[in-house]
Amino acid sequence: MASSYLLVMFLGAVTAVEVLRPRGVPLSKRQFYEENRPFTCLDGSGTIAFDRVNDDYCDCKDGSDEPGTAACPNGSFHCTNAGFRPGFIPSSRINDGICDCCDTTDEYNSGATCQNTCRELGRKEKESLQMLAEVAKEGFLLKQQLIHEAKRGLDEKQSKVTELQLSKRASEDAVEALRLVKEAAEKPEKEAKDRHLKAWEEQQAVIRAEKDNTKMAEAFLRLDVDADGLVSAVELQAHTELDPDADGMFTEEEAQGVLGGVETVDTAAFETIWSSIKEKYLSEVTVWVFGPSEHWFIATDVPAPVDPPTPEETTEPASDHDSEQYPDEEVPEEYEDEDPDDEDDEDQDEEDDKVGRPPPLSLLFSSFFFNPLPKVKPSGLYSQWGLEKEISLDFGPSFEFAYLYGQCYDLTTSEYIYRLCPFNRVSQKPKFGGSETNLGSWGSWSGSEENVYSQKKYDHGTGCWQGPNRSTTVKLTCGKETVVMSVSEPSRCEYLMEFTTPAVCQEPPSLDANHDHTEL
Amino acid sequence: TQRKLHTYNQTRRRRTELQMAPVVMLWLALCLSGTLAVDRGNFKTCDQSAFCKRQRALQPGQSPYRALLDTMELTHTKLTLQLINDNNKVRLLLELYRLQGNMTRVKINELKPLKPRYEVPDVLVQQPLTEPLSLLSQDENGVVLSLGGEAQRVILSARPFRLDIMEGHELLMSLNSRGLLAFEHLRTLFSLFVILPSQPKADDKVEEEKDEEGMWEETFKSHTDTKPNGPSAVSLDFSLPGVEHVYGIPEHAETLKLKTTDGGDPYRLYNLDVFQYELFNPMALYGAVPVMLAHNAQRTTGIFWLNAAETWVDISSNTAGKTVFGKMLDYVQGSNETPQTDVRWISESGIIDVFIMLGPTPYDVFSQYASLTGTQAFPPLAGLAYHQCRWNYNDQEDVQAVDAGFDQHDIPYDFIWLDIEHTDGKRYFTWDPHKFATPKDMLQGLLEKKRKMVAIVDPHIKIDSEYKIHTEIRSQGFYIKNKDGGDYEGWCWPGNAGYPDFTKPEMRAWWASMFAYDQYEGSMENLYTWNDMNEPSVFNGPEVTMHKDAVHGPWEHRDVHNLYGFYVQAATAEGLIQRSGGVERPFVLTRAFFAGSQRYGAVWTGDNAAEWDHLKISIPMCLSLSLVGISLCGADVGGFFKTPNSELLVRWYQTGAYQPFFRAHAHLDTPRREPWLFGPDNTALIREAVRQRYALLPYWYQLFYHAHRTGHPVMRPLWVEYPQDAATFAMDDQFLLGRDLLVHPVTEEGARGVTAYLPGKGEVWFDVHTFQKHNGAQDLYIPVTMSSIPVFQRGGSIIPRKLRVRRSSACMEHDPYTLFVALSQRAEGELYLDDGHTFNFDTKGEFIHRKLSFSNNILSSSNLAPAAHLSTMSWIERILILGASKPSKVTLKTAGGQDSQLEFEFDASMSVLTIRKPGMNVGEDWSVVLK
Repeated sequence: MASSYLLVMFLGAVTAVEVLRPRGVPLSKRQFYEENRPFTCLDGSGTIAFDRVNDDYCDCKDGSDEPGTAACPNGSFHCTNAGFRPGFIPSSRINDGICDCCDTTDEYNSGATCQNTCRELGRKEKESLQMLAEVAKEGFLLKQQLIHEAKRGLDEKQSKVTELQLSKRASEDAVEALRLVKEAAEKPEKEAKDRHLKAWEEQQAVIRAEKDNTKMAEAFLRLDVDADGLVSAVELQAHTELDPDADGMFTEEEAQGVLGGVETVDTAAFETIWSSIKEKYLSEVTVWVFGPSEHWFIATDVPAPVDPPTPEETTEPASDHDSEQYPDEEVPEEYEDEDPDDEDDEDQDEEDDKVGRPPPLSLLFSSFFFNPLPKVKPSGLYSQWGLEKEISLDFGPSFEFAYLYGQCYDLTTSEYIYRLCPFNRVSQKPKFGGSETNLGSWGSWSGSEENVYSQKKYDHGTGCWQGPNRSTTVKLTCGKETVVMSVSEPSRCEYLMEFTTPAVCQEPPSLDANHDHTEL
Repeated sequence: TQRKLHTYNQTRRRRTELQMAPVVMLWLALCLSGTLAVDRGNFKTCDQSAFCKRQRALQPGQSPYRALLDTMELTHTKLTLQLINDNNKVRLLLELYRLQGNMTRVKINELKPLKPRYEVPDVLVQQPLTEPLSLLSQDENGVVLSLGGEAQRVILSARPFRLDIMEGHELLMSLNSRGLLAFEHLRTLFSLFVILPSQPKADDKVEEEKDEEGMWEETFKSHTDTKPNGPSAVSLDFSLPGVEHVYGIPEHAETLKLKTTDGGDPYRLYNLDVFQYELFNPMALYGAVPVMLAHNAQRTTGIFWLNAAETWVDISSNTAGKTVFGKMLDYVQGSNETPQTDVRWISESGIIDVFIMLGPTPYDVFSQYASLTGTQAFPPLAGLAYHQCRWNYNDQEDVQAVDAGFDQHDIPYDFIWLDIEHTDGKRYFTWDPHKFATPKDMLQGLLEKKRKMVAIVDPHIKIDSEYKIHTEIRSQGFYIKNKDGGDYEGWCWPGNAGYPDFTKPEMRAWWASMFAYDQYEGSMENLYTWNDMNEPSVFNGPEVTMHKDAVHGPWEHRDVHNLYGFYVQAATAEGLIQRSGGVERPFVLTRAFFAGSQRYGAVWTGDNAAEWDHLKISIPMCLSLSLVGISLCGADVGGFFKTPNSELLVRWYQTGAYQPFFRAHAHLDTPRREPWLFGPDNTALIREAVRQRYALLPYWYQLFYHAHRTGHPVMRPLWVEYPQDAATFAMDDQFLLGRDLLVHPVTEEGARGVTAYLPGKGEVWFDVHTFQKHNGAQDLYIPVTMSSIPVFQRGGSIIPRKLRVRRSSACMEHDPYTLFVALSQRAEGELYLDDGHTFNFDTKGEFIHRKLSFSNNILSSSNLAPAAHLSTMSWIERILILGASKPSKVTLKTAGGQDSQLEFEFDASMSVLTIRKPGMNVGEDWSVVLK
């Protein structure tokens, strides 16, 4: 085989068109390979005659004497790839019968027939770069809007928190005032007492209405077992206490009757039937799987930042009375919280009543939509907790991810519906029936150090046999739309989601800058 | 791939487990929590296996069998005579053959069985060639027969019946010397005669029938084995005087040297899908080769018990209990009891058909056994390269990404594997329509990188009237039948499944035809096959396998059980050959195996675990297989169950790189473990291990060529090469590849050094990493880092390597060689090459086989196969001579006659001479002269 490497060497020295240099040497290193002068290995480990460069025998420890042959185990070969990007390949890919360089220069003696695809690749790359740039451009604009909105929303929320804090303080002041009134009322001044009693009764009515609303919200959520936003007759059937004739056979027809003659009711319709069932309704019928409470807090309160205030909010009653003043027993039994612990939990009750504003049902509903049921009852307190929690989340350097808060995005595959609710959780539900599996709850941003916001991690999902709890890594790429692009399970119970959002779009560099690194 | 009912359930339920009621979850949790080790209760002990219990209850003593010398007939091929059981008067027929190559065959069957008893077909490659026996002497006590030359004789004693094989004055082996020959004759349920050897009766009195428990029916767990043929076990004992070391009878998770079984269970041979098998015990595993080797410093012999039914092997030894001190005491006291090992084989049905291989050297035994059952299939070169497997690569994109990952991290690999999830609902020969929608595109992508794929094809067939494979098997009546005559059905991966009767030649031919490119949709020439679950595994069957009363034509599953996997692999390999028109060599991996399975491909040690002890045991498990002909053996690198830490994974790669079948594999539920997922340092370590494998492929290929030609094992225990060095007899923490490489894997966590034994007085060994020279016949402490494991090249050998490691073995085809000449004054080696994948080496003589030798300062290459021809582009780019002195001149002489001076470098510190670029084609005659 003596002839083959001679040929190699020969070919190595003279290649048409390009600047004359040994095969496989990049222009930047050309000066080290001067013809007819001894060659010094680039690591300085030795000096050899120039005819030993690319003679298909490895003389230098760093492989630098054989840039154009496969002789050195650690060498690399430079493809010029005119029309596309130049690049290096490991020497071991020279003449291995596989076309690696688009300009075909790596297969000069293997018999492989390679097509020069550089121009085509260059064109495609340009196209795709252009497309990416367009996407990035539009995405970046969208991102600016998102940032703007997020900041506004944030300001609103912050002021709302402040407001809530103020109102809390105000209610504390009111407590103090009431205490004074009470003291005053304790004096045998009937007029004052009557006035006060009336005021108190009014207040009780408001509290009762609030509690009823809260209970209704809870009831809806509990009844809505499959969390589809609708309470169906079938779901209702689990609650045999609602059986109109209490004959132990709560049929679907009966359930439909309870629902007003329809199969399903949404929240609005539910409000209309609530009064007819609330007396009978028992909440502890179903066994629930609860998520960790910290997740729940994230989960429960999602007044969308840009939502206009609801009527309930605007007609917020002045609830400045302190219930402590009056014994709990005076509150009708049915309004008692189901949680027996609450009796000891006076602080909480107190807080509830003081803040006194349950989230409107419609909002609660949207926020609970796909989440496990709370361990404690919803109450107005969530507004404050939730807002503080929300404000404390890392929505990116410019709050560009804030718009994802409270949203969910679905992807349907052949078998499953995957749902990503950013800052909340990822789940999987069989397409054709079956219950949902938690693929992980919001953990943290987990991208590389340079770009921590390129990836996020959801963990502590449902456990796997002999394995870890399910977890999901979501990779974010720039896109005009906010979409789950793909889901895979590269390793058992470790999911990978690709997600596009304008929030990660970077300002695109001008297109002209893209191609100045093409050699020649 | 792991496999058992709970895991099966789990797999199916994994994604929907929340659907299940909490009580089911609880049940599952309880079920699963107990699965960290084998559930022994699922598998029988000897005591729970009626025939084993019955047979083992017989104690050594006077045999009831007597040879009827007047029935003796001696032809030029065999001696026959009748044996009679004096208790029940049932007569047996003994046939005794002298076989070519120093073997004796002893066959014992009933003289007149009620119905024929099963004799194992298809395992022997041909009717063994006989040599004449001659009668030396005869009297009323027995006869003496000459076994041909070397003063070998068989003494047949009549009363009781017994055989002794002598060479000169030396007794090599005795049969029935302990009187444990037993032959449960076939009988009808209502007229029983029973063998009661312990109570000899007056000659003419026939023992009253006596039914023993389990003779006609036995129940294990919820499974009842109906035994329409009643008891049918056979048993025979062998005494091996002078022997303290016996090996073989795989497959067991056991040390190389077999232990005595006194006080415990015998070694069991019954192909079973054992979930999370335990180490160091005699429990049956996936395969069975009923071959035992016995060795002492003077001689190696072998016993091949050709029986495919459930078999138990008892081993006892008169020295086993003795301490070194006790042995010394014997010596001092002049008590010269010869050490002796006694072996007893018990099989549930069939006949006694035993081949006694008389050696005398280990290699003689290998050749003798190969002449009976054939040699190792010569795998395609790529089959010896690195295999990347996982249960499962999820879809085509996943395959593509893993393939790209290897290139990105510059790690070579040849095969990527697909486990059961690639199929459409576990219907083999199909592809999941979503995940593997365009298999040919995927295979084409691999083909373009000169890489290949293996897809699993298991022998359980989903019962589904829409599934062509099933409907054809059913319509042709190819399924195994249950005892009532219907198609046998059992649970396996697809749910309810049928099991094709691979014992039928027509079934095997049909199966083979299913691998044709136009039958197996989506297949291409770079798609190869893996047969798993072929014990056969039946999730809801007794001991996770098939009911013994299932029916294969005239035979019961009981008779053929251990052969099933053998046939599956044979039919599959035949399919791969046929699809290429007989041109291409197949590559088929099997989990179950029997004697002769070496002819069809590769074997792996099944579902091991990511534990250091499992790494350790991969050595004796593969050595035991090697000793009985199966050279292409490997263990799942990294361990199948559980998750290896990076140290264990790296150590396993380093070990696996020096074991014949080199495949990483992992359970579905383990985290991903492709080589680049453990940080750059570990990636580099694994890359280096894999590269060492690829560089050494020429040597591996040459060893497999030899194994194919001669039956000599590739991976060898040290005692095979150093048969007189007693220090090596029990050694199984290191091994040899061929004669010339000694490998001592690091199998301890956190090891900083290992003590390797370098054998051979007067020999020298060169560390392949440092070229440092060490003397033989010493224990050598070698400090180790994570970077490699100790490997030594024997002084006196020449090993060719290809140092230009590329992304797959096919990419390296035309690359030049570097010769590593390790001197011990002289050196010898070989170089073999062919096209790497066809039968043309055999059918057309297209190969190059060179002898390389170094003596008197001349290294030369001469043709070992002048009739063969092959033109190659490969040349010699470098010669390293280890242990050389510095020459003044190095001259190359080629066939053309021109001399040329070669450049060289000499490293005085290690005495390594490097000759630069001699450049001759490897097919040429040449010599290099040092002056």
